[in-house]
Amino acid sequence: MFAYTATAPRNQDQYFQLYVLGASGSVGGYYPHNSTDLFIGDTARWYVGVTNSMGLVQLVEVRIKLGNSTIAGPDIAGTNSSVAQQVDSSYRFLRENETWEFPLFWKVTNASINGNTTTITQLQMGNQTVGVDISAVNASKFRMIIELWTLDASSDSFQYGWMAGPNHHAAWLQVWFNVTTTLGS
Amino acid sequence: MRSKTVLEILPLIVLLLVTINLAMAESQQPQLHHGFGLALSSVQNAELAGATDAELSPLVDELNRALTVNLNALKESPPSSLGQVDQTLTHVQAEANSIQQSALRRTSTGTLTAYLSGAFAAVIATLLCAIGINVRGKYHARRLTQRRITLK
Repeated sequence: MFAYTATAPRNQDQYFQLYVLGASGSVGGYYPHNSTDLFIGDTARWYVGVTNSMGLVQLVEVRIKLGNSTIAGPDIAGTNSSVAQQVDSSYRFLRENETWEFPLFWKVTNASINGNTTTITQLQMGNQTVGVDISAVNASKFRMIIELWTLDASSDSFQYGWMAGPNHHAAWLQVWFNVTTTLGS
Repeated sequence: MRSKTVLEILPLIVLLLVTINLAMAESQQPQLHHGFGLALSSVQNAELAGATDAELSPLVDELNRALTVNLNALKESPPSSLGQVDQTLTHVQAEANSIQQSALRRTSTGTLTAYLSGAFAAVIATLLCAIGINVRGKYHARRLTQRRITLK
């Protein structure tokens, strides 16, 4: 009994935590004007964090996608990722219980507003300029979707979410915003 | 005769064009070096064998450095050589395998020690129990003899 207790591996839940914080490093304050309105050229300063509680070293990828209210986000079951356009990604090997937090500074550098349709055509993600073409009509908004992907070592390919035993799990976040020329509420 | 030749060559041309197209599409996708999966697998196996965080931390740091080199190389046009990444991944794999072997030895020694300690503790407990029963028996016998003498 003693020997078994001393040598048997301990069962633990296997999971990741994914979070996004605003400019002050806390929940909220995601945009410069204390609203979800973002002017062209305004920089959104976010901090994205991932904690590995899988019990083993993992290679994680955080994918950033730009969507609107009509482009499908990740499904509720957590099996399919969003089909929105990927605009950035970051990779990191994480030890057990390690938290990786990295800055995600971005801005809309080019957009057109024609009547009730707003179209984003260019973003700056960190130092990189990314061409996009995504529109939102009327009061509908845009959203940044943050997805967690992991490297499946056996197949040597990235999978959306992760496997904990036979079960698939996923973690994703989204933050909504408006591109505007006049400040709203 | 001529149309027959064209019909024979046409599928080959289509196949060739499709292959070139697929190859180009694949090369446009930024891809991480394929060795990362193998290196991760080696590190995870070492961890499962009982390697400590202190043993694995330098390898994880090396992997993160290789990752940065790989990502920077992909940003260059045309992508620069991944020879350095290749070397690092090979080194990490070799180190992880070596750590795994020593961790396995350590774990089996630990398991053996735990089971031997358990067996030793069980023997001692059995002996103590036997001595206890013996002493209790003798005490009862003496008390019984004393009572008989007192009754007479």
